[in-house]
Amino acid sequence: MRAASGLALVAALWLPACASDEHASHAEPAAQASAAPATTGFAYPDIEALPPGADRAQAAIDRSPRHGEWVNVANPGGPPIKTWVVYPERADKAPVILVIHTIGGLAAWARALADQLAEDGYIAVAPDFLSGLGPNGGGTDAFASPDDVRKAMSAVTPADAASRLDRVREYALTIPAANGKIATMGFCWGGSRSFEYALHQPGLNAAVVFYGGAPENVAGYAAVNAPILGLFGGDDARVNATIEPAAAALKKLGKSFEYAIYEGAGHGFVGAQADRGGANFKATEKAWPRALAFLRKHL
Amino acid sequence: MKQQVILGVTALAIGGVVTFAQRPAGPAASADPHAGHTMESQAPAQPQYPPFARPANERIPPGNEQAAAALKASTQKNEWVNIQYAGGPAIKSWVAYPVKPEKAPVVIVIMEIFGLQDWVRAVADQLAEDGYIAIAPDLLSGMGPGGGGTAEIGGPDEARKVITGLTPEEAANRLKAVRAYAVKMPQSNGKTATVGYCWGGARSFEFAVAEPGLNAAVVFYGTSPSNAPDFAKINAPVLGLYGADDARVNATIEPAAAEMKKLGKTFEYEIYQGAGHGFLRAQQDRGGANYKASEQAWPRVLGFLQKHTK
Repeated sequence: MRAASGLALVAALWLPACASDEHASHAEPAAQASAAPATTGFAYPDIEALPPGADRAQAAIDRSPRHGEWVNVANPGGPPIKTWVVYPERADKAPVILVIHTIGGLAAWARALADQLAEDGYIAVAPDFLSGLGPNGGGTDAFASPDDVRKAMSAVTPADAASRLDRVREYALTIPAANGKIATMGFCWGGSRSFEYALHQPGLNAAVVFYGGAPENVAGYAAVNAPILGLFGGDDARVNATIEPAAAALKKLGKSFEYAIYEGAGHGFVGAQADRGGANFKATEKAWPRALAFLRKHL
Repeated sequence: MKQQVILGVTALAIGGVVTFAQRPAGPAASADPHAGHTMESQAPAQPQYPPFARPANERIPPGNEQAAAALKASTQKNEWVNIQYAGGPAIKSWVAYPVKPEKAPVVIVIMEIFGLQDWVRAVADQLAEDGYIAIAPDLLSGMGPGGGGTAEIGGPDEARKVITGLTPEEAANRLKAVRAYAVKMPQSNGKTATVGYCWGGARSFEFAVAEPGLNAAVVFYGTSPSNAPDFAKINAPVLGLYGADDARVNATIEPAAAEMKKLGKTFEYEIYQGAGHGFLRAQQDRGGANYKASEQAWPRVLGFLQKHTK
């Protein structure tokens, strides 16, 4: 297991990190133009207790000792939701985390992230929101390029996403090894969906938002039951502009919203750990334990 | 590999980082920002295990890391056979024969969710060494690109995707074709058993439901059938072997045990403390617990097969 990851690291040094970074074109428009130096290819240390960056995701999946499987979750009125499920190696029942992928679809990185959550003791359930929307009725895998994936993602409305999350949540509640507690954890596009789902689903136990914009519909915040944790990169004005209004609205309502903004980190910092000369890795190193502590507290 | 493990220990010692299993990372390791801090508050929920190197042991199947070498060093007679299957493509199967001249039972080895990988073939070789004709069918035959199977699908992670297209019913039909081939082998004593792992463990239990002529079914960490009336169809005694830290699978043991008991059927099982899900493959993992489970489980399997198929 370890040996395989050592090899993956060597490979990573030879690859431009952004080649597999689904955010490459929508992140940090302002920073990229001016101040940001060329800082991809940072050789971040390979740490078991942290999720891998996108450049090491497939290697992490391939060496995982955990049981991972594809499940077709029934979605009446639409195609079944192809869902990647990873189980922790533990004797007792576990909470479920619904992993909500980025605008890059259910790519290897989102699956590796799910595997990390399983390593951390959770049953991770990662639906492909592009299920049935790809060529020949396929999902993320069926598209020819990451760019095509991004294009197709624009067809998935927030309402679609919430209703699919409802179906996947219902499935999660039937898993015999699940203890009935459920949180969402979303990234980028999925971060926004994670936040919105706390407004939509009163039964949700916690929501983690990685660099996703908060809902603009302030009136909707009254429906939030789940505590929310937001984790943001400092250089991500598009997303971060939505934090303060959300924080103010949730505070006024007496709801729990904690967040951290990591200086020097860009938008999709967990997936892009090789970028920004180590700042994204450093942010990941702080954000991941924070997310786990939050989940442990509320699940 | 070994060197990496040792380096890993050094890193742990220097950094005093007890909660992280740190991999050495060449130039990056020396600039490791973690070297100094302990991060107690960040301890993951799951325990971290000390490094463990599986000792040489040829009496039990190899772990995944030793599988390729074990196959290379195998002295068993083995070959690829295409088993004809009326319902579909020929089923490409790995067959390993015992050296003893007398007739032997046939054990059908049912692969994991990863398809017919080296490790499964190495398990078949071990069974041959233990005196059985072992057949490991590629149940993904015909499902790969160009009508190929596991070898053409391009890796375990891809196989995991393709296998969702293989229903339990179709898997049972393919196993029936393999069993029909097995009982007609000139060296066969006419008795058949299944031994399945993970996905194949579930198929092994189900095959006891589907095939009244089966003489024994061994289930390594696979889920039990969930449809209670199915148990009445079982003739074969069933043996289950599970890692304790596998709640997904183990949640299905008790309901099956209760049903089998009610019906007066044989279902024996063992749960190995400290072991994880796929312990026989992952013998290197969990600080030796998986290896220990394997050491205990394998003789248990051989005793069970001896009793019911010889």
